Amino acid sequence: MTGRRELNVLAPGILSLIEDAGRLGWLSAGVGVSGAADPGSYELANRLVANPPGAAAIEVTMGGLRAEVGCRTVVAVTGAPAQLTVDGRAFGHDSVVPVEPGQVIELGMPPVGVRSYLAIRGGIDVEPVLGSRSTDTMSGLGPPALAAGDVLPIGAEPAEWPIVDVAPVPPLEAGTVVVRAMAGPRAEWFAAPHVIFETEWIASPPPTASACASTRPTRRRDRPARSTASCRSRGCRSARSRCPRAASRSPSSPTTPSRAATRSSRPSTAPTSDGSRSCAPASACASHSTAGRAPRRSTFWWI
Amino acid sequence: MLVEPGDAERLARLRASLAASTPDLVTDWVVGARTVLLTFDGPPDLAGLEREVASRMAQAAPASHSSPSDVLTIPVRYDGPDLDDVARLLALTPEEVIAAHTGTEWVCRFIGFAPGFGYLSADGEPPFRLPRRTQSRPVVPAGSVALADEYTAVYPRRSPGGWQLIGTTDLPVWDAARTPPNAIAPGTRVRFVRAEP
Repeated sequence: MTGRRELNVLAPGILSLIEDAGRLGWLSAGVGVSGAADPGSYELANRLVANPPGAAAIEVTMGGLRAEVGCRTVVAVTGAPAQLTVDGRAFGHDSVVPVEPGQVIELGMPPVGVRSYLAIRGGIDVEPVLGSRSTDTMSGLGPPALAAGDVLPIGAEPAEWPIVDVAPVPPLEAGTVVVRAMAGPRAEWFAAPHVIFETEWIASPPPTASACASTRPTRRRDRPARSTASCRSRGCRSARSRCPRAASRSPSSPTTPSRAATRSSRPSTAPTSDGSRSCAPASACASHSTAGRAPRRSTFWWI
Repeated sequence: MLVEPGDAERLARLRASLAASTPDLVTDWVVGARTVLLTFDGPPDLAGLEREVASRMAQAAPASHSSPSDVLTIPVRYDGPDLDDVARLLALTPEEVIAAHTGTEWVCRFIGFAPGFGYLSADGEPPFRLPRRTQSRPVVPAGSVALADEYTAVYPRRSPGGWQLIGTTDLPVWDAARTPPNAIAPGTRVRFVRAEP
């Protein structure tokens, strides 16, 4: 081991956040999962540098992160293809990149996609909050967004070593992002739920880390009108599309504790391996089934 | 899995049962106003989980819950900037609003909006119902005691907010360094008492 196990942030770019696999187990206290917006890319970055699952990485929005590495180690950048340079020399995306003490790593602006993941061997070892090092931008839990001058501790060398130099990942394609979704348990509240699938949408600014509002259809064929029913507050998982309520009759504003809506930086072909909390924008409810012996008035939605 | 228990009693049973123990594979759960969301890892035994949840809703909650001594007392200075507006909206005097707020036993129905933000409604007839403010505040201080619809709540942290602010408490309802971090959980019974200004 050579040098100090720390990363000195010289410039954070637009928004760089420490994220891990998420803050699990606190939903009933109103604490959302947060974690990497694109779990597949985050996990790949950790695998490339042979970090244990759940090690904290840096989620870089639209590139621009510049940082000096304090020790000899390896890093990997995945997700949106921001050009990685080490002391000005370019390195490949989705690959294992060795760095020496004092070298400066920098991420350019990705030509396509939004969020890139920088993993470093040992992970970013800031103090966990409620079991996670993730920044929850909605509730303010976890470490603050990176700022110039931050010195981030790097965790101990993992036992494993990288086993590949580069991961084969299909390139992100520019153009319309395809979001795979299924009708959810409240689809019947819409006069024409199919319109969601037949309309091309444009993300409206600002896309925050909690939700990327898709409010402006480019080609509107019909209006997905809400019925007059008001949605009572209920839990929701990540990667879920929601529509704004027609009239705010309920007192709840953001009604749910968990991360909302689609905010993937990748199209749905991305390697999101974690089916349980996939960021691949698959959403909503598959089948509506009632247990054979359950009383009729209880309803189970598999979502 | 999103469960619609169908009535408040079954919802309360399921909530109490989940607070005591979660079924195998269930990683997390969220109580909503009329629903319970269960999240789980891996391919669960779907039919088995449905049966388990149905039986938890059918059985009475463990007796240890909701003994009278479990009521959380929250001291409040009724100095909120919206207290007069609230009184006007309800055609009451501010003193009557305070009397209704302190005279009601509240129950946390669910948590939402922010970590530890418990939606408390009356254990019985709601003493009042009123709209949110027409204009939300960009900043509501931590510890603000607020009303909206049939609910009352304590803002756990400084945040934006649109509820009517009637008072302030020094009781920390949220502390991320504490386990659990939230003083109010679904099912918690709460009484507000008047604190000296």
